Amino acid sequence: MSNLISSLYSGASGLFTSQTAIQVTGNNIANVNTPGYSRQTANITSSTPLEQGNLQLGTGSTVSTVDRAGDSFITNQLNTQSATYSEYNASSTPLSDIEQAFSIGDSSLSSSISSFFDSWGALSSNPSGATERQQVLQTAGNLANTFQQINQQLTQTTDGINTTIESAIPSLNQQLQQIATLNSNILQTETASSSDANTLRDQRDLLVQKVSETTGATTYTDKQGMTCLQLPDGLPLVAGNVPSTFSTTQIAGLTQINLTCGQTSSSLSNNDFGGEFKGLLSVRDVTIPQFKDNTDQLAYTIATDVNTLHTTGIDQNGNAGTNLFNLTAPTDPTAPAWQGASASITVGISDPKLIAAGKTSSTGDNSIALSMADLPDTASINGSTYNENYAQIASDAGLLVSSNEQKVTDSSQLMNNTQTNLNSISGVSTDQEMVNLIQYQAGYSAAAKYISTIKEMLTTLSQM
Amino acid sequence: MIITNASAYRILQNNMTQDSSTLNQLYIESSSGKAVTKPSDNPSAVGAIINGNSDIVTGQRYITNCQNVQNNLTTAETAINSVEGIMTSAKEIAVEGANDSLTPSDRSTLANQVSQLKDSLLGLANTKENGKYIFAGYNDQTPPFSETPVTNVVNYTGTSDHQMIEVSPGTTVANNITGSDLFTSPVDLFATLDNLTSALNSGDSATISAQLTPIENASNQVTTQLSQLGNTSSRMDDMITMQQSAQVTVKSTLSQNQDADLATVLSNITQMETSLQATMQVTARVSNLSLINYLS
Repeated sequence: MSNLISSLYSGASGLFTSQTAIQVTGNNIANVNTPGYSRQTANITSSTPLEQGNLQLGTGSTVSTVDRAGDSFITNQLNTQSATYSEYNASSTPLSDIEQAFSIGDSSLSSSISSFFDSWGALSSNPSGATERQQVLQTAGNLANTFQQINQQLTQTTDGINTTIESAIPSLNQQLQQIATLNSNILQTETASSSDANTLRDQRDLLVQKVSETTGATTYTDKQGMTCLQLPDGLPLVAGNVPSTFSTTQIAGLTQINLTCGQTSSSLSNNDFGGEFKGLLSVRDVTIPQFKDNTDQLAYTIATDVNTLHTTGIDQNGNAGTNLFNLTAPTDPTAPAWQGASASITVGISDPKLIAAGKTSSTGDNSIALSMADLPDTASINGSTYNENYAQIASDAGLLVSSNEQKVTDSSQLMNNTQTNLNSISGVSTDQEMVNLIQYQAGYSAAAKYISTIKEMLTTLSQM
Repeated sequence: MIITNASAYRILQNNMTQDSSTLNQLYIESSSGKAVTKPSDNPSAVGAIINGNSDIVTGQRYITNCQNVQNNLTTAETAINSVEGIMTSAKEIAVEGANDSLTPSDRSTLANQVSQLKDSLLGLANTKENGKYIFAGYNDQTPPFSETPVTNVVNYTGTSDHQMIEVSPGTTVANNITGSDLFTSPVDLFATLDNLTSALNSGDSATISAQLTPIENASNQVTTQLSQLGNTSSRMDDMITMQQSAQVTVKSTLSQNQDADLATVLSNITQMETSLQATMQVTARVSNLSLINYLS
């Protein structure tokens, strides 16, 4: 026969268990909006039974552990998908900047080209006209200016990317440091108490996701259960409790990212990364140079075509025509001749009399002006006319932006779905917690009722 | 599957962001009237838009060029009509001078008239319009014809160049008639008049009659130029009409490529607004829908 006092203790264990479970529920509700928080559940087990005679009598219940809901597969999937999303999302701003440089409106390079050659058309009707000559110089100035502006806008985009990278590095290093510290803290806590360090694990998962978004890092768990991070190319970011450090140096106006792990240091390019850095570096090191090269080539072709024709003419002073556009040749002898043309193009003539409208010094000779006005109809750059070439560049820029927009939308949808999946496993639903609350409250009331019943029984016993 | 509070709000928020950004794009389209304001709006239309815009500029240049050519030729036409008048007068004088009944003094009066005609002709040959000598070829800043004193020989110092103007892609027309074509080559109008003067002064009817044929030839030379000029001028009219209708085509193609279809845009706006409104209503309702409300 069991004893009434030990029955009281069984009842008390029910009270404690429900109370603990309600506390866990309360914690879940309080963290309903905490980023990275994983729902916790009280793992209730029955206590070790007592053996009385040939009976095994239960001694109530206890909360043995507080578990953390989660799914490492979906968490990894989410990390990868956030990295992809961040890559496209990071490129979208600089790509739009590039697109703006190649506009199709009234202030575009294309309209500057049209106006410049149109002014030669006007000059052909009145080759000695002072107004028409002034107009040629003015539109030539505008054309050179538009090229310089495009170049400047591309350079500013590059600068913007450099700044973004530089400002991301300190917090990235801090995150790596925190992950390493958390790794050892979690190990210590879990060895000491045999229960999971849930909150620390949540913090670590959140940091890992942030680092993945920035660098595309992937994770693996080492022998001791520590989360290790590495770049897509395999370079370690966090090995156990040892973090690597990112640093930057300036090389030819570009921010170079270096990674130091232990004694070894390596410089990284866009191919070493995923995530935000890959997006930014690819735009800076692949896309922008491509667009600069195309613009340079167009600037160089127009300038040399115009100069070649202009120098065959005779100006109003009876001298041979000089270069209308000045270009600075690239310093590197192996570089293509057009390198830097859009940055260096200027108008070399300031006196309208020095414009050579004809092949003779005769005031009515318009032969050069006539040929000049025909230049934009010639397929002189990669089999296209100037405007066709510009249209190609502009539509390339547009295509990059629109396909990137599509990628951002697609990858964000994918990421959101995974996030919803993960939330449904590890997130807090207040409705669910309310149901739990009711359940544990009922358990608590029942245990209390049981205790008061035992008390009545004890009273009855003592009054016998 | 459990939809947690965070998921529910995130999904609603995403939808709201998407709807309002689509709506914003539609607002831009309807207010600018353009569906394509930047290359990414429709990368495949970029080529057509840029070509269209540059075609409009060149087309307008061709129209201006045609009008310039026409203006220049009209000025020339007035002068050439007067030249034709002078040659007709010269012919009348020659016919009159060949009449045997004339006295030498009558003929000398006629000879004076002819030299006056020559002076007028020289004036016409040096016609200046907008600061330019129109019969001078390329040397349009200096008088192309000058008379040598004593010998009275008129020399042409202009050039035989035609100022070519582009009036449609690859087509050029001459903007001027050169002094040599009109006055000196192959028939020299001044020499013809000089010959008539000397014939009249010589007083020999036969010599005077012999001048009729050269004068006739000179007259034909002028008429030929005049009719060529008329041809070019009427060709310019056709060109202008053609370019103007080409402009209409280019503009309508351009509009197809870049302008927004307002009817569609406006109906899309209504649709998106309804959708956004629905999302907002749902968002408001979701926060009411909670078990907490039913716990006392």
